[in-house]
Amino acid sequence: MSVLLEVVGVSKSFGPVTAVDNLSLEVGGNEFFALLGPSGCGKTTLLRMIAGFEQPDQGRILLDGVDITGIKANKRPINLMFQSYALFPHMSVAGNVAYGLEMEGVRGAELAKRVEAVLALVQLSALAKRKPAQLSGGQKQRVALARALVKRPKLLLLDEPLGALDKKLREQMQIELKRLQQETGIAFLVVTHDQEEALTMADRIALLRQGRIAQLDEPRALYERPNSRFVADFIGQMNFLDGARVEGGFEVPGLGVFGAANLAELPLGATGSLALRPERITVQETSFADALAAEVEGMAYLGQDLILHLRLGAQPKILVARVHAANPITTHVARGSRVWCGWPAAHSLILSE
Amino acid sequence: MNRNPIQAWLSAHLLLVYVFLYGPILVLVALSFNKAGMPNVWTGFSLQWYGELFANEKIIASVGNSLFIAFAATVISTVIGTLLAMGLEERRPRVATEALIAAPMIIPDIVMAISLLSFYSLIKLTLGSHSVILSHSAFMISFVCAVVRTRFKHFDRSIIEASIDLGAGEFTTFRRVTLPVIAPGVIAAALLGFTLSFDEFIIAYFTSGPSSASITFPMQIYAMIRFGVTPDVNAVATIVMLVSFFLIFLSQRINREVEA
Repeated sequence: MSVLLEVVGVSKSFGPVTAVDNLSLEVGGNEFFALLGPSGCGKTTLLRMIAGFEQPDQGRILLDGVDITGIKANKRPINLMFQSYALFPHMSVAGNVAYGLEMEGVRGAELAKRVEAVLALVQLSALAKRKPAQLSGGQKQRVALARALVKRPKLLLLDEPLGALDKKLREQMQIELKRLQQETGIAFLVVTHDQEEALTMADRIALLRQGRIAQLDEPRALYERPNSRFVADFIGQMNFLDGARVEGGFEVPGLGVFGAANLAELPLGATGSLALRPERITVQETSFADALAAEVEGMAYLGQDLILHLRLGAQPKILVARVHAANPITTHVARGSRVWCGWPAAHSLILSE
Repeated sequence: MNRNPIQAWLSAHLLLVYVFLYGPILVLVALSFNKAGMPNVWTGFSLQWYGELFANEKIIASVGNSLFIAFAATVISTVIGTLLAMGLEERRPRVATEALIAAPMIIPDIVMAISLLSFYSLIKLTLGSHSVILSHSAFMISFVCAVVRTRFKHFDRSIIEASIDLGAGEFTTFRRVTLPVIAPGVIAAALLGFTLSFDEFIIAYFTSGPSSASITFPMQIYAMIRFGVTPDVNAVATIVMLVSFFLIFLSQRINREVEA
């Protein structure tokens, strides 16, 4: 993977607030990269610095090995798809798309050809003459995308690209964006607060927290091997059982001693939490090896899954388990039911902080 | 059950307000077509007073003056007021700044008139059409700025960044994105400003100087009615009112159209 974008030790403060704190990352030439994080984590500020709308206080931004830190936004071979789409309301769809090419001096047949081609790519050819006000949210989003793509940037930045769409459309567009990224070969850097969006689309994800990278990994690694409680909690749902490393395992007081995938990395006496994904917990009516007795405290029916809230003896925390509809237990479990639960040690992790 | 009487009262109230506002104007319009020209008797429909009006060279000349002054002041105040509105949008101004910009809309015309006259004599500016243009521009800037700023309330600033992101410079962005989007507000502001200047009497009266070349239309009418209301004044008032109505209507229409 050739490196396209390098962010080197970039910091940015607004008054007393540090938005981005000595952050470094690299994005590859044909990569779909996601900046993920809660609001206020600095992801949008970082995006705006890469686009050229904010200047970093410290650090450098390189594109193809060239330092672009001091280059103005309109001279960077980078385009941004705005969260609000920012379509020009007085121009037609075709006019919006042509605008960026006109700025490059593209005219006449060449201009028409490229506008048509990109409108075909986003399946908007039929609406070329419409004004933005006459478009639906999904169509506006495609125009914004076409307007940025037609410039053939080296890097396309997308600020919460699917935030304004409803759930069905969002799922469609996730696949659509992925397709466009692969067809055009342009590197995409998307900013999102929606972990599902990042997991679905991105090749790699940087999870940001307070202006720093909490973890940078591929989606699967981020989900299955989070490096901290923050990451584990942000990506998907996670149960935490507090305890300490003892001889032979990780002891959760009152519950027992457990194994974990990363047990060997932990020194004796270290404290932390045993992290468990709800879908990794097996729930049965009869006991099985290493099973723990539990009482069903509550349930939530999700159609394909059933969420069970389990109380483990005197443990203060409720254990959340996600049981697939095919599990026979789903048909007759009820509040107050006595059940047995357990999990393979390989699917649990011990996390500190 | 209860609503109907209240609705009826409200309608009656509205009707009374309309009568109060437009009754005198309707009488005036009717009189402008009265053959006798007297307010006490109706002797039949006639366009005679309109004919006399257009034959009156003084009135025609004063209308020409007023159109010239209104046009020049509109151009000046629209350019400055629009730029001012853009600047104010750029940096969230303090309340005091806002108040100082809006004040000329509220300051009594007579105060404006006296202070401008004193100021002009202080800087030894000769009086004439040009001083009226300056004076009108001074208060029109506030109105233009206020109208254009309402336009910015619906303005998504990210389109400016989008334009820059797509490779445009600042001036191209202004010419191709900002200006076209705020244009309805600018046109509405210009039309309003034009109407204000054309109708304005006190400030023009004080700052126009002695030359007959700077007698504006309202000043000419005032000069005429000092010797009693002549019927052709009714005709003039009717025409001015219709043109003003039309301009205000147009201005509101244009400003509303693009909001939808």
